Amino acid sequence: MTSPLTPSPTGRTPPGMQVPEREFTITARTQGQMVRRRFLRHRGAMLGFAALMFVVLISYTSIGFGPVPGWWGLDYTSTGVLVDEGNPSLDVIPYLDGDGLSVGKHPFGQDQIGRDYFALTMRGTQISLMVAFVIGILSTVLGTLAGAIAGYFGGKSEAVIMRFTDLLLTIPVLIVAAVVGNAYGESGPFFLAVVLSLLIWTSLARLVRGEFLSLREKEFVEAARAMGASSTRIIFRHMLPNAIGTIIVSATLTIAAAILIEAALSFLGYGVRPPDTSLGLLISTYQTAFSTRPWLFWWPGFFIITIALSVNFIGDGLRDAFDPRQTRVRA
Amino acid sequence: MAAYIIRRLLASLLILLAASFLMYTLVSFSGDPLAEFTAVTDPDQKALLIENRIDALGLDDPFFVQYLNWLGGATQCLVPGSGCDLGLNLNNQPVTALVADAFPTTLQLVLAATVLSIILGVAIGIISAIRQYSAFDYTITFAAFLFFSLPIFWVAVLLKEFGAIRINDWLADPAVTLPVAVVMGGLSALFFSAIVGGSRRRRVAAGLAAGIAGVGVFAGLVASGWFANPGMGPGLVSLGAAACAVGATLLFTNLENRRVLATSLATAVVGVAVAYGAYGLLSDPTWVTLLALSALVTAIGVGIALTFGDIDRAAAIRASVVTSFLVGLLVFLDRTVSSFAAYSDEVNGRPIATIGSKTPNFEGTFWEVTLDTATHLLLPTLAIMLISFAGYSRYSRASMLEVMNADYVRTARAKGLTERTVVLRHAFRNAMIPLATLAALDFGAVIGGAIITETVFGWKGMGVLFTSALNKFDTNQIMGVFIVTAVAVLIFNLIADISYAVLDPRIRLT
Amino acid sequence: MGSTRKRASAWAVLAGASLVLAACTGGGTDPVDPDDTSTEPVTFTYAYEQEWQAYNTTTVATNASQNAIPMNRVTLGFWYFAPDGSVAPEEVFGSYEKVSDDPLTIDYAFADDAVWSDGEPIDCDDAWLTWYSQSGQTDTFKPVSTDGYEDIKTVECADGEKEFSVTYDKPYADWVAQFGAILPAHVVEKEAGIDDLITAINEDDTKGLEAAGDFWTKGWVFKPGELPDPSLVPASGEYLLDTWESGNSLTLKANENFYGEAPVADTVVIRFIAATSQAQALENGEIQAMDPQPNPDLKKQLEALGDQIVFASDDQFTFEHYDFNFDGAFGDKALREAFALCLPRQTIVDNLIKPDNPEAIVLDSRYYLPFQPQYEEVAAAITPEEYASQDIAQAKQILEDNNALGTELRLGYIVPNDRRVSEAALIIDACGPKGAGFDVKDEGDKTFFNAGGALVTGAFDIALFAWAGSPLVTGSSEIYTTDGGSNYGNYSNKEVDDLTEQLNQTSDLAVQQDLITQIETILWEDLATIPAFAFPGIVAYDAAAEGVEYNATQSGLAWNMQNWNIS
Repeated sequence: MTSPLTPSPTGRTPPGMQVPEREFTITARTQGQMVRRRFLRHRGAMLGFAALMFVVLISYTSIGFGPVPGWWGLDYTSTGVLVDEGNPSLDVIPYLDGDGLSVGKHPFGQDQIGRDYFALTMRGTQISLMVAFVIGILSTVLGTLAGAIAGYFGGKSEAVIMRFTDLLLTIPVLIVAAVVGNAYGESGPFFLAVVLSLLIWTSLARLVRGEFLSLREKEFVEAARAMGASSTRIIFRHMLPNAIGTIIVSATLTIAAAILIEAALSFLGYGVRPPDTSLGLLISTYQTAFSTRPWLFWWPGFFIITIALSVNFIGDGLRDAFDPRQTRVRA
Repeated sequence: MAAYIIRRLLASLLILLAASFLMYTLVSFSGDPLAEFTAVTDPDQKALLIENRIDALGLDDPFFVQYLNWLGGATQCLVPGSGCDLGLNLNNQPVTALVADAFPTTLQLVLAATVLSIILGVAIGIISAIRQYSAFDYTITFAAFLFFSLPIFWVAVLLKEFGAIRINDWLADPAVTLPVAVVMGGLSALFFSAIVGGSRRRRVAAGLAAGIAGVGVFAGLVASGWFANPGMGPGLVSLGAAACAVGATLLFTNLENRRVLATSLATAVVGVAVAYGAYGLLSDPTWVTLLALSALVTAIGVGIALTFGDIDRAAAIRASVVTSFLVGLLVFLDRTVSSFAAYSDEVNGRPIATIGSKTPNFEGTFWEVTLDTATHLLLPTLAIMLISFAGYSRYSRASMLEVMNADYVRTARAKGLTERTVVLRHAFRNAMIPLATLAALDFGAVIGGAIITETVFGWKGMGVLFTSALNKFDTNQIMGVFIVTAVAVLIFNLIADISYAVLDPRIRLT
Repeated sequence: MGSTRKRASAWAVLAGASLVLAACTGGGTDPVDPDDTSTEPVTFTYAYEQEWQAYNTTTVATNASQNAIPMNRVTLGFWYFAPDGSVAPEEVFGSYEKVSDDPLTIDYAFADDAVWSDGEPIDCDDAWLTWYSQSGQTDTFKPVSTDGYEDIKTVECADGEKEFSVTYDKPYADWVAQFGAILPAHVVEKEAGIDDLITAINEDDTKGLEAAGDFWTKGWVFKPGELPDPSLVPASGEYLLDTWESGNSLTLKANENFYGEAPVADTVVIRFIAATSQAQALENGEIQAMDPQPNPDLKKQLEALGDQIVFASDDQFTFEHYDFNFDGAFGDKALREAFALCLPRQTIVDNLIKPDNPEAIVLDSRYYLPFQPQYEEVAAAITPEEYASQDIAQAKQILEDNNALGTELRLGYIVPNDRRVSEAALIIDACGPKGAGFDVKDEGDKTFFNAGGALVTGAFDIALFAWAGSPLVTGSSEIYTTDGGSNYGNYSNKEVDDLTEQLNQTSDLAVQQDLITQIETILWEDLATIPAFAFPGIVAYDAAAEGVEYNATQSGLAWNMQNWNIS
């Protein structure tokens, strides 16, 4: 395996390219700097990041949030007269029909009671983003901590934690959603997200424990222990960076999956309740509109896919960036 | 190990007990089983309905008594022979029978899909890890993320429209129209340019050639009426069998090892010979006949390997067994597909189904019945696969990348081992450790979790049983489904933990 | 690596070549049997949303459309719901006529040749079973309702007789719709181990009747997919139960012992398919007919299929209405007026109902639906002019005059329900701060109908829900009377109570219409509730299907399955 000293002629500069620098020059870089550098050079991740930022910005600024008003004139609750049978006024492919780019009054069309579908989609995006990130972050933190403790210490603490995850794994998400919906119907999607993350951290905990079980037998952990490092230090400074690949991949998959879990719950009638809305609720409401009013089906689908895709690509970039052993393997 | 398993099983029982109590509590908070009677206008009738239901469910009893009553029946399921009583649902049907009926349905639905997505996901994940940052890697990464981002009911609507209705329309009158040609050519081009790899020019050239060839082959198939009467025929089956033998040889040794190659090829020949020798027997076989025939081929193959294997006996036996399995699969596929014309005729020329697990009252030969199941399984399996395969490919890619950078892999390379040996023997095995957990957990979860797939494709499995019960607040039915899925989850958790120790000898199970 | 790639390419080419080769040889298939062109028996497949479970549809646990629909032509009775919602006599099964008004006495006669599919004649003991099981005289039979039957004094006939006479204690308005879905007494006798049901009842054989009641209640419910021996589930109609594939389908076969005209289709398959999946199954030829609960896109979706399928839309026998809570702010009639004026009934019908049923109109009557012959006359007589169209300005004026701007208005309804969510949004726009000036709160909730839910506890100002209509007048008696069991808004008017009492004892249709006109005039004057619209219904069937006819009642399409055919 050769390590080229200059970027490849195609101009692609994939992460890990500074390997020779690390090996042959003595430029002091902190772990953080290296991670940032690698991340910024990951094209997929940067594209995903840009797309996600765009979605976040447009969804929060367009219709506003809470008391803050947005720049889009219509809100997602106002009904109105159907314009052009609710057809979207935005050309998906502008200039094709000679009209040029025109946004129009209802770029994404209207639903059957004349609500602006752009505003509805933006509201759905806000809720879906919130649900996904609450679940993703909370369950990752919980799962990592529990898995790390169980895998590192073993013995009683492992047994207790793992049997507890077993217990939670057996409880169906749906029943919890049903109970939450009945008891706290008003407190809305945020509460649902918190409760769901209390349930689904378990699979990550098991993955992390698996990694830690294997890592704690490694020589460098042995060495750190011999040098008298504290357990906390060993877990967070030595073992966690080695497990970060699994954790990051799992976290991003969890965020992406959370969007879909919310959609699935909405499909079954246990997710976000109207008059509030989410992308999942919009799609499941309009699944039958697929062939007749396709814009009601495709736009929320487009935003779900965009969010999940971006998050996954960001996760991919983070995984590469965090991996302490990452060198590029040329095939 | 045995002590560990026994201890875990005992712990599982306790977990089950705790979980069932937690669940029973949750169910009682989830709704009101009397709610459906609110809309009854006649007060006498309403009182009667409510009284009857209170009686049937014992709603007058204190909560603990209700739970203990249920538990009393359910614990009988643990003691073999004492009967199993999960109570009656709101329609007076025994829950035990409902669950026993739904479980195989779910298993049928998720088994094929899960196994296929693991095989496909792991294979693709490993290839894209080995070729990190290649065009193939980027394509697969993008596709995996895309599939992973699709809501399954959204996919289902599209699959029914484009995977069943349009394809059936097309099969009724196969023709190479422009969109069909573009799709087929495009797929072929994508696939081959991804496989070929190398410089961009090389890939584009390969893609173009493959695209044109793909359209050509396809047009040839359409023109010859292949789609009305598909199948491989003896020539192609033999060729395929030979390929299986070569593949099996490659798996355990290399092609230079003529002895193993020869025994595998001989097994393949035997397999094809038996398949066509027993042609009449295979026109409408039973599973027993099929198993007996494949056992016969395997036995002959092992015999050949034992006799001529010499010092490579072990590898030869393995290769023979794998070869006979693959050839059996090939013949099975060929025969099933060959009954397509007859089957299509029986279902009014619309072979691919959008709904249900079988054509009602379908009768036909073994192959036609198999095909009927297959055409009904096709869409839901695709829907599940699209999504879970993406997860597996990402995990196996990540896991493989970590392993490929490990010291012992570098050591193995330094020893001068071939890349195939390094990947398959050294890296792959360790990369599978996190995946084993994932697969086991996933399978345990999917038994209760294929809810949406079952709902949209009209399969009455565990998921549908659960949601319909939840909508009616049917406590016994909810608990019946729960207990089965919980046991499945716990068992597969245990399997996941044991597979740790099996795959990584450094891990001690205590 | 390079050599591997070359090898792979070589393989690909080889594989491609051999595919073509195989194509030329035409594959290795057995020859297909040429079609037998002699008159093939017709199999007709119909989709219904839920799975069948039980033979006896009159018990408390099994009284549901999912059971009743497949049984439409399996167990007959003296009457059936005709497509226009009226009660029609089932002439092939028997006949009945009223012979006295005081006491109400009806003479019934089974057709002379009417037999169960096992050859046993349908006669007196079957009538006794029907009456006794639903009379509420015993605890062991658990019927869904004892209405009417509990008022029967005697059923007079002797074992084996084809004719029987029924005498009521007091007049019962809906006597025409008694003795439907007659069940086989001889099966109950055999399973309960009693010789004769009539004797057992007369001699009060407690043990025997207990066994009979137990079998009647639980013995006709089956494990999924396990149909019992045919002798346990005989048919009195054109079809008998043949096979049940759990979760998939129920198959009915022509009953060879049927005493009337034989059915057209030899086999009817009822497939259990969710409403949202039925259109694609129809398009794909997996079913031949369907009548699902429509969604707003169903009609357009079917239109797009062209000549391949035929569809029609109409009203269903279920109607939506808005109920005021008289214990809250709407105890004040001025506020009820304001709400009635701002309520966008026409917009709701235009946006939510017309996409499926272009003929849909705003509903004005609570007793008759637009497709019934009495509707036009009654609606014209009862509806006050001022509520004929929406007038938000006037509503606002009333609120201002009463100093009631910003009055809280809780809209209660059950979720999930897409249509009601949309209704609520439209009401909020018209009556809320942007419209008439109520402070409208959308309180759609999953627990709305629960024992402790908003409807029962009165935690609502306007309740949105639907009543299943029927031509039977006694069904509505508890909705508008003082302290009626279904009078959730606590509306009370002495005059309405008296008129309803009269109505319940009147079986003459013309007198009924007159009483209803009087009742509804008062209901409109008082603004007790506001009717909104009849639910839309859609039927669709394969262009090759024949004999399929819409039916607005709970029987649905299956009411005349004996006429179904495929050309």
